[in-house]
Amino acid sequence: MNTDTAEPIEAGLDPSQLMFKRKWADTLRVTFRAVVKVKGGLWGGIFISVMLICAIGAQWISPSDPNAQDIMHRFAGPSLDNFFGTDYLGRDIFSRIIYGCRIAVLVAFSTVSISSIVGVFLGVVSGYNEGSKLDYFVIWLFDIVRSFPQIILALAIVAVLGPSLVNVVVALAFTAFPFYGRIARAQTLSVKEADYVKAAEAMGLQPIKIILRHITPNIMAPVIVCLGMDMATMIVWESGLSFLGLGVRPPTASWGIMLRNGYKYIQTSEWMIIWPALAIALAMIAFSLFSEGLRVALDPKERER
Amino acid sequence: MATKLIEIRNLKTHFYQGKGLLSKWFGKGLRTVHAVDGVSLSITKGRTFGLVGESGCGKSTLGNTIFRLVEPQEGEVLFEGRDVVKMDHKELRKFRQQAQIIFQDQFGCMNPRMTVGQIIAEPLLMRQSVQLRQEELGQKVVELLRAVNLDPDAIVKFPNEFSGGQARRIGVARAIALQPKFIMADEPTSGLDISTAATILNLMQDLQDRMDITYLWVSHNLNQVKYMSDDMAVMYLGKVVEMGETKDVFSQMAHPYTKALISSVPRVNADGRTSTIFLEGEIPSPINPPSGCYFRTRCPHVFQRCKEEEPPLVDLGGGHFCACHLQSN
Amino acid sequence: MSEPLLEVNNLTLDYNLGDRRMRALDRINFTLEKGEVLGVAGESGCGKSTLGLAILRLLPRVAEIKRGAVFFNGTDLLKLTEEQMERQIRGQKISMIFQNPQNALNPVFTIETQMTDILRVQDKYQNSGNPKRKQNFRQEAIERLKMTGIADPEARISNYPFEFSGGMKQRVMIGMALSSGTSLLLADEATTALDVTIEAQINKLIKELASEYGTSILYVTHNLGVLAEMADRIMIMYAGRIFEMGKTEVVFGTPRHPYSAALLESLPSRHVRGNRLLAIPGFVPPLDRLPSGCSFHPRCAFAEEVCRHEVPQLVEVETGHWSACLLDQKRGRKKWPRS
Repeated sequence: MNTDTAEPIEAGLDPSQLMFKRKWADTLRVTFRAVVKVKGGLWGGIFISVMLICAIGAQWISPSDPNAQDIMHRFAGPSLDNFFGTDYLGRDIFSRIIYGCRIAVLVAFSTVSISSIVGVFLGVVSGYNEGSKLDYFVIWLFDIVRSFPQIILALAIVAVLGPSLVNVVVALAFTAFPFYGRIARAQTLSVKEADYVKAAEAMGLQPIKIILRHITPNIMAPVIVCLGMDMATMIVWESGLSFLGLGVRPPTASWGIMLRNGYKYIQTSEWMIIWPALAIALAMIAFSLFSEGLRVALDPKERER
Repeated sequence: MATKLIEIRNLKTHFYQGKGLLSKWFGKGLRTVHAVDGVSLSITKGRTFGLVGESGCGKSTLGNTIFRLVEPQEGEVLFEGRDVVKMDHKELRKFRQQAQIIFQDQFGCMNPRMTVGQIIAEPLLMRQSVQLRQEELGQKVVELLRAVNLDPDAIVKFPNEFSGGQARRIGVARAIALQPKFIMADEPTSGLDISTAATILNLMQDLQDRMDITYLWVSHNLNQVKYMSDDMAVMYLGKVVEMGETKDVFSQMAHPYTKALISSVPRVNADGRTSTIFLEGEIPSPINPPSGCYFRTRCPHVFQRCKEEEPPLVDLGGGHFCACHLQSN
Repeated sequence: MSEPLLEVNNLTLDYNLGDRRMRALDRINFTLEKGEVLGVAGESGCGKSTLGLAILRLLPRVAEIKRGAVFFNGTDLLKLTEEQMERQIRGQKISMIFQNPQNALNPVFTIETQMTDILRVQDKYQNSGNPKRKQNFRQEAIERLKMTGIADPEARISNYPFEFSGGMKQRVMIGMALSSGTSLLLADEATTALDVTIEAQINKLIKELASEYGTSILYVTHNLGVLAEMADRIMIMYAGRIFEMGKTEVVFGTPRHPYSAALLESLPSRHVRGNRLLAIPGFVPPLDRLPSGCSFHPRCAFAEEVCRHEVPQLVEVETGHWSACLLDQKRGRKKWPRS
């Protein structure tokens, strides 16, 4: 209970020689084990890894060029040559799904990174200065952006800037940052009342250091759960925008564009739409499961002693 | 010649409840919490000053105000002659390295995401004049852990891996890191078992003897205050009702509240103690306290003057003060 | 020689937590007479709270009663069905009050709603064949509030819990727990969360009402001072076992078990400024890894070889005074040495 350590200190090593942090390798190992312990965290992690592999190594994994047209064999059903069949231009759907992973992963990670960094930064700073003019301004900003329905706002931005991958990322990040901001601010309001923050203030620590060292790490738990869920959501949004023609531009293979191409032929060549839809659904589930596992794993209080 | 390390003069800290527009329009008098309402006392260097009182008496707020974690409306807090309330950033930082707090919540006062080593090292890293190298820092932390009888391999553990008593000791190690002159201990044994509490009390006394620390001991446990403190003050609804050397306060019990408080404390040895005085009614709220003497609504000896006039703190001789009209008669 | 109200025989209870098994209670034996106040003292992990919950069978499923019996007025409570416990025992013949009165009341209902709900249910159980339809539950609730000293009960009964102070909420709980039909009251740290002057009032109230109704009390707390004032007899527990039991003045005045003696020497009230308190070395053992023999031996200043091997039984060292120490007869009354 009291004297058992998680990682034994090597005998003879003077503790004062140690870094005060636990070694990174140990932390990662413990985290990984904890995530995997959570039900579903393992499967989520596996699927996301598969997606990452597809995204990074698409050139090597995919059996054919996603843009190679073969009009002779269009609308072909699933076969040994084309695992998922071909689309209306004879392109191999399986390859397009794999390349679609790349778009999905890119969109998910970049939009979420941008919106979370901006949102959390604004949220923490305004929360710590609760009641000040800065706080009121930031809340006002959040409310303005949030009052637009997300899809309308994203559509409007892409319509103005023109459909492209970059603009999709910008639009989606912009609609999402207040979400993170609100969470970060709400968490900051409660965390800043904690005794350890008071202790830091009583020690004479400057506010910026208090924010970085004490407040930000302790508000991240709900943010991280959000991150995971948000990545899933962003994949769906991108698909939606591309489906409407306001996303990535063809002939880029994104799952959304594949939906757009395929829905016209749903009665005859249903495989054109089933596979991208399944990919989107599975990606969503995977990210949700994994993010829940990650949250549990990162909470030091829930660590196995 | 005993020096006064801390001198508090007529300190008032009020909180305004309600941030909305209505309270701004209708004036702040409506819902003001008179947390600290005109407190004056002095703490002598090298001694322990006990501060007792029940819920709503303002002892926590008084502590927070001394450290300027909350700004007072009126009054002075003199630390070695300089007023903390008026200090600028630089001076305040220096003060905060000489005065430390041991918090009531032994786990809550530590960042759950920092290791114990980082927690204890944090104040050391803040001292501007000395640049410590990694090994020296490590050695200092180990020294501090040993000073509170903790195993040095705690350095890489997280706070939640420890028991209540051990967590309390980590807090003490952090507090003594910069060899402060003054430590406020806020309910230092709350939530601890009898034997664990005894360990902490012994430890705090040893540290005081070795490092010549002045303690402000805030507690509702009167047995503990009688044992630990040299001087003490009893607070009620933001005011000091009785103050003086602990032995005088306990033997004379000049104020009716002190008498009731001390007689209510359950003790194993009932040797020579007066029978329990049971107060009627509940502790009033610090919002809109009663007129005149705040204690009059529960006092068994209340008379007319108590309702009209607030009793001043009167010197009964030998540094023993009491705020009660009965004493002036 | 009348039968005791409560007789606990050999009660042994484990908590099964996956791979760990914690022995929370180990061969607990004691009796409680009608109208008596028995104090149960001990530090964390000693099992005192578990004991109260075990009597009322309010423990979670992971708690397994391995053996023993709890005789209440001759009936073994452990053999009753859940339904019988609910209808006849809980809240009626045996009641319990807990440490945090703020958590015991539902914040979104008025005091009146909560009290009358309970009264209605109790009435249904007591008069199952013959329910009182015209019973004025509100009036009875007001009566109970009056008995517990709450001023102006007719008005205050319509308040919400947040409008009551901690002491008043505890009075409400006492009002619900204690009635003329209550034979046994279990109090688990009932006043620990309250201010000192309020604590004195509440304990006085509990004692007065109990003596008026003839209720026995099992008062569980770690605060020895409270027990010195409230309890007729006292029981000191450690890691699931009873170490000492007897009349309060006797146990506190002449403790026979080294642990009891050490506990008393750790109290600040027994020392003057400047003297060091006795601090028992070591820490309370986790319940799944109890030491062999006497569970206190690793920390005991008097431990000898035999203490490591033999588990001490509760032995009557003088009339009505029991102690579980192997060396008691030989040791006599040695004072605990200072470190």
